[in-house]
Amino acid sequence: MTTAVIELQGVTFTYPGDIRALDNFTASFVRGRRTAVLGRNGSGKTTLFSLLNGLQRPQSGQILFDGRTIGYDRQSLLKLRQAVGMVFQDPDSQLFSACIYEDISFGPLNLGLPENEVRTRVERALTQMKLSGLENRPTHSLSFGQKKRACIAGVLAMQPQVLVLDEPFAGLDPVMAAEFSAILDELQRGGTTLIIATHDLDLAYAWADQVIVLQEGRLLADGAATEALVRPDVHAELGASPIVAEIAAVIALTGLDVYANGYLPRSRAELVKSIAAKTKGESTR
Amino acid sequence: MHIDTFAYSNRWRRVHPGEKAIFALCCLTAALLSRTVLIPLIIAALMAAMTIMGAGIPWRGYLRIAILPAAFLIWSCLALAVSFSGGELPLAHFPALQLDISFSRQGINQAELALARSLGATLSLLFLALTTPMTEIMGLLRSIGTPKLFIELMTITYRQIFIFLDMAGQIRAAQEARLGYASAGKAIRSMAGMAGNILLRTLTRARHNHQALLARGYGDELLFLSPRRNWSTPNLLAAGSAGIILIALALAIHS
Ligand SMILES: Nc1ncnc2c1ncn2[C@@H]1O[C@H](COP(=O)(O)OP(=O)(O)OP(=O)(O)O)[C@@H](O)[C@H]1O
Ligand SMILES: [Mg+2]
Repeated sequence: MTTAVIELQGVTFTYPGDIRALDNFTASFVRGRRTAVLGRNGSGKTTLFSLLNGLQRPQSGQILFDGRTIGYDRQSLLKLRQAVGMVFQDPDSQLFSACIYEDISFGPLNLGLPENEVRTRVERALTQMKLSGLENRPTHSLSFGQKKRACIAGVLAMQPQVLVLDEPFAGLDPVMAAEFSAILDELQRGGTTLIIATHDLDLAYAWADQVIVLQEGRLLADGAATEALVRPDVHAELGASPIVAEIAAVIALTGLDVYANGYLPRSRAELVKSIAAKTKGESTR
Repeated sequence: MHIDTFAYSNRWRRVHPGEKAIFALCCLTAALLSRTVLIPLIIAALMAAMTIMGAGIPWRGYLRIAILPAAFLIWSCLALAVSFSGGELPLAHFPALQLDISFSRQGINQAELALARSLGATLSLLFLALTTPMTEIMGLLRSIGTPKLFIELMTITYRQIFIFLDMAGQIRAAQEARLGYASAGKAIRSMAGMAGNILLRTLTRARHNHQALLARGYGDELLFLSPRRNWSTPNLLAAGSAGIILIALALAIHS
């Protein structure tokens, strides 16, 4: 069953100076799924995200959370912001304190939780993001990736139902990216809905259930990653297709059926496995 | 920003900030209360020794940081000692200007005492600054009930200083890489560009910061918890008793 956790209906958002960042945008994010939002620089990804937890208010159209139109009074916003956690593109804009422990405790305290509960959550978020041992280092001495993890920890400590991450993988080394991806998997198993913005087509192809492609503030494509990302118009807009999909298509032309049994390789590892299995099958025949 | 680096990486980093603060403040009080030069000088020596040998701050680094306030102190105390109204030890005489420069006994005594006291006090504070990170000092101020607004401002300012330095450093490097400082004229133009750019970026940054705080449910108060630290009774006793003894000595010894 698919229920939308967040829905946008005909949303238009214009920045001062008549810059239309979102134009009659309609889409929905399914509960418990992973959605990747793609689009060229300036296509409106960050703006879209800032609408999702009420940081900006659209001039027209409406946004529904759990089937209800979101309100912009203080109480509703606080509730919404607990439910929809947001990790920003630039860690320096999120970390306000030179001590990451203090920073992580900020969100949970704003939820009005008692001190002991806050401390437990901070500790948990620190271990979860592999930051234990770094909590006594000043923020300005941390690396970009470490700061990024601190930001994520600060949002995880609020235990949101929906986690919105603006380019979470940018700037992480491959090992850290893999670890972070595992953390996201775990969160998803726990029921968290994940929404990320990314420029990495391959990552979106391998990672996302659903992709949303933006083109100058308008919706260009919305659907399963394996379908939407190989569409010609999406290729034309983004300037590339996922490499795994391209290679699989080329190999399929040679007659080697990498798509056997309806199985679609989505990552490099899966593609290699699929080719290996197939070629072995052919040679033993 | 060496002070900061030392504060985060010295041997006494794990000691409860309160213990260090009690010790430093007791010594500061003792130095200021004393009526002889002896006690403050002992305190100054003690503080330097504790900072260098105890907390393991390299003496070169320590000297470099301490030299500035020390030079300032010496300079201002010199001014205290100098008299223009006929002291016992004449220095120079300008009949044309009707000016008479000399040292007076009393002035020298005063200057000596002021110098010793301020040196002791300065090195006490320097001890605290070099062994305790700013965030912990702020945590301490918070726990003794400093007004919230003040703490919030300190927290944010302290963080922003480094973001600002970083930003300026990046712009400067980018300009330099494109030969923006190759001549005096270019340097001025580059500096002006940098100043304008920093202003704009700071404004954008402030907006982003505010949004990020709002996204985590910021109301009208910046709420946060500092990491817990455990008091150590022996440390506390040592710091407290040493401090009290010094204060008592300072009060007891007259010239
Ligand atoms: N604060 C602002 N004021 C005015 N215009 C803005 C503001 N923020 C974004 N814009 C404009 O809105 C449009 C969408 O920007 P947005 O930041 O949402 O794009 P994005 O998809 O996140 O881009 P990127 O991939 O570079 O992060 C752009 O044209 C941008 O210039
Ligand atoms: Mg963006």
